[in-house]
Amino acid sequence: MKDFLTLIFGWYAQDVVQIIMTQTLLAPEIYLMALIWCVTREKQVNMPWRWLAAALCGGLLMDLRWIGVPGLYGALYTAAVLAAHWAWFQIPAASRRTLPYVVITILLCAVMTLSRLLFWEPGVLTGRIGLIIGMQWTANAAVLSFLALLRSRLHDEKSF
Amino acid sequence: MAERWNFERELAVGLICIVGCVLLAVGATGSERTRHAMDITASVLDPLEKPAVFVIDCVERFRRWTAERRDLLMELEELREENRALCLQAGEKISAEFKRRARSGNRLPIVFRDPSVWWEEFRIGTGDEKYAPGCAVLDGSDLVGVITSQRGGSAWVRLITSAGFYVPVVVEETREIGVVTGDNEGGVWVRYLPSDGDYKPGMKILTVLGSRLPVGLPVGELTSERRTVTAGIDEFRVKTGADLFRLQYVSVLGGPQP
Repeated sequence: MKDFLTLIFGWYAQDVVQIIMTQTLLAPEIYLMALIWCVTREKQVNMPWRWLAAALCGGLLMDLRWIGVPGLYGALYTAAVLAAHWAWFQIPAASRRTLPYVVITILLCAVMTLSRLLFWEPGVLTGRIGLIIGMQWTANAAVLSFLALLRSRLHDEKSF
Repeated sequence: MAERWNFERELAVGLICIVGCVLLAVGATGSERTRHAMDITASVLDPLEKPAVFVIDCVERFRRWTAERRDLLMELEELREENRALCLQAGEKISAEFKRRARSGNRLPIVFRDPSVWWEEFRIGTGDEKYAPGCAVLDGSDLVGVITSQRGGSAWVRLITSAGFYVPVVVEETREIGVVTGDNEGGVWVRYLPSDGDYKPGMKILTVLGSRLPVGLPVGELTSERRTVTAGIDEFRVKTGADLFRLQYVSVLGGPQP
């Protein structure tokens, strides 16, 4: 339940930040980070049904709220959950701590940024691509640092 | 070592989801139903997004306020410049008018200048003309002093370098009011100027209302020599327009009394 509340909060935070960024800049990938957080907290290698459903629903909602292409981010978030789940369980159990979480998140956020830029209006990007990526990744770094700190405090003592 | 799990099943489920999403994206994008769904989503999220809208409103108002303030300050600076230019233009007109009035027929010789009070007073020959005390004495259009008394065919003039000479003046460019006075040693000073004024050497000093002299008479220019007598109040040395050392002839403004 706590994880679902985290996801809802993550989605809402990203939505609010996107409004504040006036839709001409990219909001940090808070929802994706929250999804990966949840996926990489799994201790057992089970089918991540809950997180696939959360990825689909959150992605669809985001599509309907922002870009009007229903299914686009549903598909991307689902693929991200699959990739994160696969990557996480490739790591030996003793090493599943904060650092792999950070690395997986950075890689998937990079893919997500790229996909967002691909589907954005080229006119909005002209001459501003550096600014857009720089702003988003500064914000990403801030959120991810906070999550990494929290995770290392909460979970690194425990064994995964 | 990675645990064993049914990755193929997970991949298959995931791919089905992704393909479903892609098909949905291809089929539903731009349709009326999608627009309707977007409207519903927006209306549901609207109350939750109010804080963000409020923040962005505040930011936008602040941005507009700063932009407007910057524009207003620029406009104010332009108007100040324009005002300075107009003042200078008006000052030149006034100077020309004083020169016209101080015609050559009104050229009066200095008949006596006592070395012991060299910077305080001198006497001019007025002939039969009568001048009232307080009339301005000029060299060209620049103030030299005022007539203090007249007897017979001559009149005494108190120089602006005299310590007893006090005339209210204005710094033309900044519109700060002060009092011009002498120091009996050839120096002329503008006193009582606020220290925080934006003074620059070369700014013009003109007479203002408050004495019997006409308004707008040029006295001289500010120099960079500055002294603080009281906290917040400064004095500036003035470079007089007239060469007070080599004066031989002057003119009197105000004209002879009938």
